[in-house]
Amino acid sequence: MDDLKLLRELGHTLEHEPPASLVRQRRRLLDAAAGKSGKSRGAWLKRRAGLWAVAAALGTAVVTAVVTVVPTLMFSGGSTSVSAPLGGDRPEKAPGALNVLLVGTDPGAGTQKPSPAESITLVHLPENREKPLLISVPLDLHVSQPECRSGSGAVSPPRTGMINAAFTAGGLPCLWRAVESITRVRIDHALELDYSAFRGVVDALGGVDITLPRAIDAPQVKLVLPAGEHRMNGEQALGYIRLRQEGGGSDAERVKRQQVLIRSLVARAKERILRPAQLTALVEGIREHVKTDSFDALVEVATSLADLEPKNIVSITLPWEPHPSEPGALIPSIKQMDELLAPLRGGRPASPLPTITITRKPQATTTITVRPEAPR
Amino acid sequence: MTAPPAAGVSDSHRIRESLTRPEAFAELFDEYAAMLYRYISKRVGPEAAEDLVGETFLIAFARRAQFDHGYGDARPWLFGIATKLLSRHHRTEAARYRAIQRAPHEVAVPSPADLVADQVSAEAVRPALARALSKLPRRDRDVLLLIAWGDLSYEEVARSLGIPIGTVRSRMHRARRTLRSMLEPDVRKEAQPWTI
Repeated sequence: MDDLKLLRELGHTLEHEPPASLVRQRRRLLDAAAGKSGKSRGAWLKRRAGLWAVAAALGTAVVTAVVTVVPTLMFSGGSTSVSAPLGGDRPEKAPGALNVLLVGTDPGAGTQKPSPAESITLVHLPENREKPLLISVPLDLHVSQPECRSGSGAVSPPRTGMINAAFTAGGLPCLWRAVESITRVRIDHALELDYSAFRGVVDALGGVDITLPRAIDAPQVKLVLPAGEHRMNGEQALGYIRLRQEGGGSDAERVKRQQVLIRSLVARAKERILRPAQLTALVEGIREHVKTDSFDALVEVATSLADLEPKNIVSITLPWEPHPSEPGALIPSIKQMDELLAPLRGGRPASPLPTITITRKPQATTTITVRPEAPR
Repeated sequence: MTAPPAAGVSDSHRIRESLTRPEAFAELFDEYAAMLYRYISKRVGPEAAEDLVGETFLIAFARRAQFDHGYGDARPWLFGIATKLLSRHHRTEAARYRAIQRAPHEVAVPSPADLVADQVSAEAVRPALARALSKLPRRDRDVLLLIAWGDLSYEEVARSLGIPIGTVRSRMHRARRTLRSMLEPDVRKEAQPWTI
């Protein structure tokens, strides 16, 4: 094999995806541009529009969720294999609003079982359903997690650790409970989907039509195609949205490709909706890759999101700050989070702040990331 | 192999605009921060990468008046700044390559799309590649990695580092010779079964 090719492959395995916290560096740049010195956090909420741009550029989570949710839920029905968290003191419901937890996984990506979440997003639909709020939860958020009973009935004890550990330890119900406990926002429904669901959708629809402005040669995602019109199968379409090197290598380009793909996919889904045999195949193809407690509620989320112009969807990251003692870890920024989430919470506003326990030596034993060198 | 810059507003235009409207520079961040993060994370890991991306853009912003508008694309310029900053982290980088040599598999961050066969052959040569990377003089390594991991062309590397293209060629030639000399025994011994 070619030496440069081997070196590129080594590069791929060493590469990390930009974390949500990269937004802090953008803020540094904006502060410099505004002639400010040092870091200011006060204007956090005012910069929401800027944060949205970064979320769009960095977080493919939302787009991925919509890619999968929209066509999936255009045809309701399916398995309901998840139940809402039982017991405990759950936050009160805000009347009329709908809050849904979306979790994306990529089981093909690693060897860890169960696979960790690739994205955690809280979708808030206000009572008038007009301006949905998408809140990305950073995966390396360090939080105290309440005791919880997983789908299989096992009880995980309360502990402090990365939020993703709640998911790997107890699945969707435990993550559900953990996110409720941090945000004090009542979550009505939850949906977990993996990237394979997307492949299943495309194949069930008999492929998706994409026009390539130039040839793609990316054997690493099994995609080698000349420029021009193509009907991609599920595998190819999945490769196409995962592809990073195309179009300058920026994530913004990837997001654009995903959006083109969604449009084409939705158009195709509308064409195909009337054929019962294919419909059945589609639902069957997706079922094993989607876990949820309520398909009906999710149809509403999907249609609400699909009908809106992207500019009306506000997408932000849950306010966070660096962990005081754990390098690389984040903790929720309570004051900003309260400002942001107060309108989403039901009931009396006077309840005390959630306790975020910060231990000097965290007890978490689940290692999420492998760090090749000692922290600075 | 290098992808052309995205269509639309050119970087040169954005940089010029940022002279009068500084916040326009953030568009450059939105376009290229992810790309730079990936490149830098390959060389020094995720912890240092975040800060380095921020510093790269702060320096670029401070020097935006000196951007050469003869070229529309800001990538070589940004990679050049990042390369200088990376040289301050050579200890972290060296430790990373040593770690791969010691425990080639533990450091692996599985990539979603790798084919099984590719993984096998690439894994077999990881220590050899890492050994070659630690042996290379920094200037040769910069050229090699800007091309292999940064996806820059020879010409872009020359612009990035402010050196003649002939120098890029000779450094690249030297670097690949070292790379191949480290790989050869491994390739013969390990990778043969998967090479068609």
